[in-house]
Amino acid sequence: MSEGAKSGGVTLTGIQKSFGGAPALVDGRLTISPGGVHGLVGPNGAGKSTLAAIASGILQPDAGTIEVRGESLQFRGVPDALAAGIVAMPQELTVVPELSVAENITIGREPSRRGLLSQRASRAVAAKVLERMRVDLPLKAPVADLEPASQRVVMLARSLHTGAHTLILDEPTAALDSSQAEVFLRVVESLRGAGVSVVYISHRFGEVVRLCDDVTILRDGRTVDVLDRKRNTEAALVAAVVGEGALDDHVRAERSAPRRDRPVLTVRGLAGARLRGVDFSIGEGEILGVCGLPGSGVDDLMEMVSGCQAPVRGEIVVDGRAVRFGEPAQALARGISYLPAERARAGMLDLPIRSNLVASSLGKVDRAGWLTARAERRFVNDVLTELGLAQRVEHNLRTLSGGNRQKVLLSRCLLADSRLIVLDDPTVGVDVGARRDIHEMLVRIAAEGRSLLVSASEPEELVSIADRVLVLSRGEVGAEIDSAEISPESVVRAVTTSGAPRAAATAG
Amino acid sequence: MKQVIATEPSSSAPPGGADGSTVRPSRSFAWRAMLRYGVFGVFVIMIATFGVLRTQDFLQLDTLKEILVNASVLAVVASGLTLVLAIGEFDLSFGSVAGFAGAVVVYMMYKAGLPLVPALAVALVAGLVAGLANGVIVAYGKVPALIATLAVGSVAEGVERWIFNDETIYEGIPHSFLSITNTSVFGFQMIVPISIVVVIALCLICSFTTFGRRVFATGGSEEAARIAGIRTRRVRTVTFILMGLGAGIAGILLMSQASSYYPNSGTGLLLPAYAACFLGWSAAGADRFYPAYTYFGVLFIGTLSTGLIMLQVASWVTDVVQGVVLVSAVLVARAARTS
Repeated sequence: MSEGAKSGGVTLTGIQKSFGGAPALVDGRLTISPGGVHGLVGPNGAGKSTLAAIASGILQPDAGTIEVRGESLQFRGVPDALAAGIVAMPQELTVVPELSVAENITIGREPSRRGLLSQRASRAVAAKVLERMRVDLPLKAPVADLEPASQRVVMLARSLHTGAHTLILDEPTAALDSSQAEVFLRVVESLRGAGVSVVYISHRFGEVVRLCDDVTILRDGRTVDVLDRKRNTEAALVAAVVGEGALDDHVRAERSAPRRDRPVLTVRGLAGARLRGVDFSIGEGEILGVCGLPGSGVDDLMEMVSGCQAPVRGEIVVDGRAVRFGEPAQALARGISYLPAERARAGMLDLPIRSNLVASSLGKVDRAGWLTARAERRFVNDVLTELGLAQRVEHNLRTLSGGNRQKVLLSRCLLADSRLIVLDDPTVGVDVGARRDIHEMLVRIAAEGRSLLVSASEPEELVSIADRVLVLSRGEVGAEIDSAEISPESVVRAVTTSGAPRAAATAG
Repeated sequence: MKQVIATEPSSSAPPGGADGSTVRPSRSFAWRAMLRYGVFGVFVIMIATFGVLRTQDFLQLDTLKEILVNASVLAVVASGLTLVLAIGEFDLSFGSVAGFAGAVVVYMMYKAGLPLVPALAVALVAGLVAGLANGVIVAYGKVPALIATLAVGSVAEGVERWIFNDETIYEGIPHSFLSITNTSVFGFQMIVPISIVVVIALCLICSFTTFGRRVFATGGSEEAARIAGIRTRRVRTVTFILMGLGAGIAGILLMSQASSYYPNSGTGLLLPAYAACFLGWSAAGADRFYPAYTYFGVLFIGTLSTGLIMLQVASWVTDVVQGVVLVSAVLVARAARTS
């Protein structure tokens, strides 16, 4: 197919799809008019990804029609959708780090002469694609050397190189922090001039408002509304997704003040990796937020405190005693639990929910090394009942929605009787409603006297729960914002002024 | 360096949904049933075929006894290997370790003049040490299991040859050593109950112990298990130690069965053991490795090889058929999962 020439409207109507009897889509509708960016928004489990997978031929609908430029089509697989000009960019990073930018863009469709690859032709083709996107990337550089946003841009260029006129982007910025997301968003904006239509799925409403010409709202497997440009505001999106009135995200509920005079954890001169000496302490029942630009060392701090990474210098004091953690198990023994942001890879165990809950408390449930499913069920029963998941105790944790997965993992920390829970981006990949639930849960945990160390890639998140926010800058504490002064403005200002932002790799 | 993130089911995909692969419109029930239970079908057809080709003697209790006896050593190593596979590793050394442990037990009785029980203990310790070496090198040294276990296997084989210099030893082996496997229990040779006890013990460990839970947690996602507070390096090491012990037991059984020491006794175990594990895994719906499933695989392989021997086909045929059966079973199991 010739580059970008054909642009066409795509219409999905009455799409139905069930998995093993559970309906994922009941009445999915999506109109992708030629050109422009079209938002697709809804809570987790609303069927966004399923609809996207059907539009791009990954899944086949049980009922419904797909029309491309007025012609009714049936996609038996991805190649059919591709032939019709529709391609989905995967949510996961699928670049080959060792290969160059040009090789990654042309991978699978390398220009070849008599079966021999031509590096030069490859680069020429890649350069043309990037030109269409108005992006400048070093063609010969290995993708591993690029910043995260640019790696996504390479994936985008690869999708464009297929000759598709419709690109489906499923949460392309989910794994990016705000500054990196910004870099990626600019590229998506510049696609408008390239004659392609974009379907943009995201939980980040700010992005959706900024990018999208219209927004399709999915709820419970149905398309319930399509917002045009005028109605596309953040408040309208929140209202449409939640399906009720405005949302009060501020959940600093009534609770006794945290006992800063009784520190649970004290860190002195902590250094190693990107950290260059960090001091702070967390009191009993305190929610301490940590944020900073990428490279400021937030990740390293979380990993060192939770025993995932050993500090080079400095000390960690728990209950007045200096500790050294060789692995997370040792931190856990001192009452410190860790929940990473990448829950799919590093949070969930590929086991039933009950085993996930018990994993950090095996020593409490077993009898001389013997462990039965019954003992596990007894141990987790109350917690699961409270979460409303008692019926699903034997289901694999992966079958739950993002919000429920996080609730289960948080409950695991509670069952382990941790006094300090270290949380990376606690609501990443979680829909708006569940996000509020989780915030409430965190505040309730703190009210019980446990302490929380919470990092967030979106500083606004900390505003709604933290008692105090530390802003890291170049491996040191750049600013400390106390309860009274916490506001979205103060936090964002502290983050963005405390360290020089990284130079963006995309230009022009 | 950035890692390519493995495909995960997207968070909003419903339970039982697509794992990202292309899902064809559902095939007929019969087709899916055939894929799902195909391994059992082939097992039955195989028995029926042998029964027809050897009407005079295949479908008899004696044949069953022979199959069980022949498959006993395999059952012991394969159920140990099951745990190693469940934890997401593999082991290429257990054949050599079995041979090494066999050499050790015979040496202890024949040259060092130790009584039976201490000699057995020393051989088990030898297997344990080899497993410990594998575990420490893999878990703490972060050496890929392929290299680590090949190297440990090579060392074990070297030491075995150093002990007996490739000679075969018939004398100096006490009768009590032979009776370990040959004593008759309810009409079966003792080796059969021994192997079944090993399989059952490992099943119990997998299902009803904290260690078993840790094995499957670690095998599913090491990083997640570590963060949940499981000492994954220790779990791996212990798993390799159990494998080494299994290999040690296998070595003792091999020598006792042969009532002699002969070189390279364990080398033929490698492929059948993997075949048994993967046949069991396939038969159980390609879901997870489990010693009882593996025992089915062992019976499958045992029936196949015993049947082929009774048909007096050339021994290379067994190798070819085993390889083909193994790959087919895994292919069918994969197909069954995605249909």
